[in-house]
Amino acid sequence: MKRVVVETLHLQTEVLGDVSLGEACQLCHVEIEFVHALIEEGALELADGHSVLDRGQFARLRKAVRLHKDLGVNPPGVALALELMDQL
Amino acid sequence: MEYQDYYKTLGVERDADADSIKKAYRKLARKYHPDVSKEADAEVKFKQLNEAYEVLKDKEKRAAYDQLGHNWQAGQDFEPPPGWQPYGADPRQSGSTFEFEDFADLFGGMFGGAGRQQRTRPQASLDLHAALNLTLEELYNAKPVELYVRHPNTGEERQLRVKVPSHLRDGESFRLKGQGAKQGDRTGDLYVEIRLVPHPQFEVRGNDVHVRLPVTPWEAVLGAKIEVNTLGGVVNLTVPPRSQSGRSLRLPKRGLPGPQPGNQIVTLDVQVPTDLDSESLAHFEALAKSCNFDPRGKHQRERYEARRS
Repeated sequence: MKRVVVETLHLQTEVLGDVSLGEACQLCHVEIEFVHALIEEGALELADGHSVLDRGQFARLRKAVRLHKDLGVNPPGVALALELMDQL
Repeated sequence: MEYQDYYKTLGVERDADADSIKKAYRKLARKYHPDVSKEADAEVKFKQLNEAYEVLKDKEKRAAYDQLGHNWQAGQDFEPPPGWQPYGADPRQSGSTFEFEDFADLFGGMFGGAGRQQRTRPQASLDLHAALNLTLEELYNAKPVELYVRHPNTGEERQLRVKVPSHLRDGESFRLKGQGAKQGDRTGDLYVEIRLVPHPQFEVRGNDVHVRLPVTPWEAVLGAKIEVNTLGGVVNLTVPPRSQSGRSLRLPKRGLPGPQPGNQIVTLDVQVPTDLDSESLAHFEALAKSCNFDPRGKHQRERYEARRS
């Protein structure tokens, strides 16, 4: 593959802080119902009663979405898998 | 592209029916899914699996693939038949296949000889997603790392140098504003998910770094000062006298940095010498006669269990 590096940029990174549920769905390409189901299963926690996911929970959602889409696991299955992985 | 024996990859016979192919794929996908698997080359295996399944699950693609014959050796270059788009080659696909590609891209940059090259692909939005493999040392020291972003429209690559904030943890993301795809005067953002490469010595749990420390029986009994590696350098650890094997000692604030800095947790592992000379052995024999220590006695067991809990 031909690589044409046009410029090298030194960039400031911006840490993803709290992500709203809508934004999270958009970023993960997933339906809001899936997120709600995970919250109901207790596999995902909202930050202090607000409708936002903190950095760690958003990372967890990403993992959940991959398990769901790649392995065809439903929300209860995803919740179980995450819990078992937490125990490792 | 490189030839791969898809049947071998999935571990099925060449005349396997669609059901057994699906079954074999599902089983291996669970085994090698990079979020689940502990295997070092899980990403590579998972991508190969998906490439194989993408072709073998589709009647037409499978027939085209079968026509290639047995003349290819794995790794050899070959020209795919016309009209056959192998896995991950067509960015215009939509629906669930697209999502799959999304995943492949996420891990796509993690293997091959290209080093830290991250490939990205356009989404419905102009945002791009990439994964970045980081060693624990790179994260701890917040060393600038390079990533390459290929512009989906023009094929041009930009090299970005970024300092990954060291309070990020495995699976968490940061955003590079305006570094996504461009369309007219709209630009998307680039989201980078970091993946911590497993460390041979240190294990990360939350903000803490866990490490196992082998000690001699006499160090455990008499106590000792031992030099211990931490991410920030060598530190002197005091092992208190009469330390049981499995005892955890804490080095405060020697874990991962952040608003709540983690600790390093050192777990003692008493090792028994196996090749003793006769003089040392005589010491142990004398000890066996003179010492009335009984680890299975009621009193000792209670103390042991109290310490473990």
